[in-house]
Amino acid sequence: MTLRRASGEAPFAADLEKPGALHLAIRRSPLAHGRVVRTDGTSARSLPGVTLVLTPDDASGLLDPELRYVGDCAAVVVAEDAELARRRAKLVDLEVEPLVPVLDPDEASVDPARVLARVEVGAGDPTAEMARADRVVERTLCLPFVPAMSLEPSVALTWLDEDRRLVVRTSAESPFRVRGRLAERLGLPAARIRVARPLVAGGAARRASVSIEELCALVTLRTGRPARLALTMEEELVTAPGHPPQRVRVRVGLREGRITSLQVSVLADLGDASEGAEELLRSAGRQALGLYDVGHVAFEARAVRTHRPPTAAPRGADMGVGFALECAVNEAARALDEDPLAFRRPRLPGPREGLEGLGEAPDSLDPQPLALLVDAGARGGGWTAEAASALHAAGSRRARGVGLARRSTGTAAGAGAAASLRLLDDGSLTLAAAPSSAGGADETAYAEAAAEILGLPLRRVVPAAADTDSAPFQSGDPAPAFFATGRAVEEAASMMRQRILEEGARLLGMDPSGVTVNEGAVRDGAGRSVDYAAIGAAALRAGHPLAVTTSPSAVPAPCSSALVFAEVEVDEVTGVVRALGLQALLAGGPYADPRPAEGQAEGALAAAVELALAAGFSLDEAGRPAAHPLRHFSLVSAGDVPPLSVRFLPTGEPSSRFGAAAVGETAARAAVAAILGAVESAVGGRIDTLPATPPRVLEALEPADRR
Amino acid sequence: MRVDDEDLHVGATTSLQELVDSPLAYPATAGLLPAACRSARSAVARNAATLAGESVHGDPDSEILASLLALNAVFVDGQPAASCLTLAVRAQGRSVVTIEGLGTSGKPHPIQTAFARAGAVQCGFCTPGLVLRAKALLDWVPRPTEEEVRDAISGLCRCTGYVKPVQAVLAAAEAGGR
Repeated sequence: MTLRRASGEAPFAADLEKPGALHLAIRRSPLAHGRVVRTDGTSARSLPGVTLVLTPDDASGLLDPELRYVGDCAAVVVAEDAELARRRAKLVDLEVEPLVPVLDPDEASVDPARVLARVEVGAGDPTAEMARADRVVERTLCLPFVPAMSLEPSVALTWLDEDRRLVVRTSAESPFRVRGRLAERLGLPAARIRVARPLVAGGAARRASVSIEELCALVTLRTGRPARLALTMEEELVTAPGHPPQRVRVRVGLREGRITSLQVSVLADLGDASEGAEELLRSAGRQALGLYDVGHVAFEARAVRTHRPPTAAPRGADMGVGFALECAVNEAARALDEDPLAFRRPRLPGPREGLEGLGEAPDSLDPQPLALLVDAGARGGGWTAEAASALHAAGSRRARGVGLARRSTGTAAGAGAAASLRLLDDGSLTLAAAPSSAGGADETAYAEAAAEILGLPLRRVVPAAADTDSAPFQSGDPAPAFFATGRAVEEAASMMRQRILEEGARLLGMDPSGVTVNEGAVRDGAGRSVDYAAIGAAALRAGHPLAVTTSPSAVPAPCSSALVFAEVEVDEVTGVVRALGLQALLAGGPYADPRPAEGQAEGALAAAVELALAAGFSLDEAGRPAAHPLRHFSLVSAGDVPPLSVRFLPTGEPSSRFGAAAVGETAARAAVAAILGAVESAVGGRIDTLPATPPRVLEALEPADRR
Repeated sequence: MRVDDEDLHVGATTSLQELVDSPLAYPATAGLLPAACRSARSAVARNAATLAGESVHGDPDSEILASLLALNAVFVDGQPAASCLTLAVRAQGRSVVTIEGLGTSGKPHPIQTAFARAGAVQCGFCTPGLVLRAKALLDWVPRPTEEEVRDAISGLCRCTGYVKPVQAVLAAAEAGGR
């Protein structure tokens, strides 16, 4: 599989075409808020090559006359050729009545209709304790909208098969979810829809809310012809869901050198999103409040809807709170003139009550992995107070920063994944597992796990395509998918092994207790054996083919923890920050093959450099991208990525090969805080808005004697 | 594949990408394309071509565009070129190698093997572009430094953080695999 990807043979959604397909292009809203009062497709429709123009009038179930963000879908032009469709889409005569957009999350937060969710939990008496504090460190940090920016564009292709069933190929992560939504929106029975998914590159969540499948399906149902829609990179940047902009206020109350109280308030702007707001806020609380053992805590979070594009959760949309808390703790350590790592050590979480409202109270998070990380970090390699202060003493523009993060995925984790295995008459097996996450190496890992449990070489386990006809039903997108699907595969393979053993024993005329399975055969103690091919063929002939499907019940995924050290260099004249090194310690392992987990963590560290220093774009007062997104969105390139070091620390927890849950998200959030901490150490002042661009860095630059 | 004069019944602005992409639209080339090349419609090349085509007039400085152009690398007479920006007429009489011409999963090029071994293939979308860029580098600089490798493959990958791809290229160089 890996080599098929390396040789360009493995197809992505964009590679799939159907002869005779119609091509769609979207006419997008020029306004952040408006109502389509009249669409005239006549001039577009009358031109050669244009088959169909869809407007809110004639596609009322799908196209809403109310336009809710710049780039929202206003009309669709269908033509024989994609380029033609795009050109003709511009000719649709669109009359939009402007409505007043709500773009300010503060304004949205006072309108109950715009507040999507609100979470308030607390423990102890934070107000009273804060009043008793010797010192209060307060920080307010703003995170921008960051588009997911996957290189693969969203592509959907639909057609009717020989039985006039609707077939959908799409780069969406979860085929069953797409099928369910299509059935609902188009009024078709789900059984009349088959959703097949090729490889998916890049981010997962961004695929969630784009309804390109619905538009294509509608065209196919109306015309009987295949239909294809591929978004351009500019459309992706402007309309694909990204990180929600957030403002997080953290107050840390310190008494006698300890954190004794904590107040966190969050305002997250989810744009046009409507799903998952409450879980996003709870998750943000879990990630952050599980970090430190503080008796008096208040957590208040609101998520609002505004007239900006929808947001989703690439690399953990809930990262703002954990990030802001780490920035505040770094500042508290600085205020007390303490080593930021040593300062964290005695404050690791212990049992406490009052925070059950977060879904999973932080007291159920084992503090052990975090303690291990901090100790290992302190022992060497990662951080020494001497090295850090030496950098400062030299008056250098270099500095170090530290960030800690943990990610608990909540009790629902692990549910909704499924795996099925079938033994064929040549002794090979097909494996269908769902969902498989974006990021790629997972399918191979599933096949390897099954092959190992079944005692077969890898090539004898064939991964099946993700298709609603053949894949086991899977109810949603469990997080983390790798962990959940991996468990399902392991369970299915163990069950299959037992079935093979029983069938082999029957063929050998033995009791199952008298045989063993190894190297692709069932063997008795007397040297007799029957191989998988014979077992598979016998089972098929006997009318009971060996097939196993399993969907394990929910178990909490292991909490993942990360400690990251960052070293940066700041140019005092230009304000340009260069990352010099990132070191991550992650709780987990040992892994039979550490490369997938390492690769995830390395990718996340590189992404953190982008998030901390470059990524994000803002909207102007009319809700339009403030600058041309294709020109001004900065990508981290190989040259910007500093040397990365990733180390796993076994925590003694039972670890399966799929134990590396959410490694990437955890490493990224710790790394962003570490990088910002390092920049602030270097310049002396605060940077309250991400990314730390050169103008913001220069503004935070204090005279050398005050750093 | 080799593009000869009589094959090029193409317009003045037809790009090499379109030619490689649609052998059916340019029937004269179809017969000449070896089997591997006929499927040269790799995801990477095609998407980047579409995307770059969309934005190229708008923005020659865009970092995103630079990344995308790197994704659809082909070799024209051994020189790397962006297939969507190379006019087909410029390929007249020259040899064109796409990722499919470099190696297959059954018979991989040593650089592809090095990528698989190092764990450098994650989602795989940019991998063909990385491999072709690495090939171009090793053709010129058989034993590159790490920095040279980073320069060569910059701006492409959103999954790996470049650690393992860099290791893969260095390992391929070490093994003399170009």
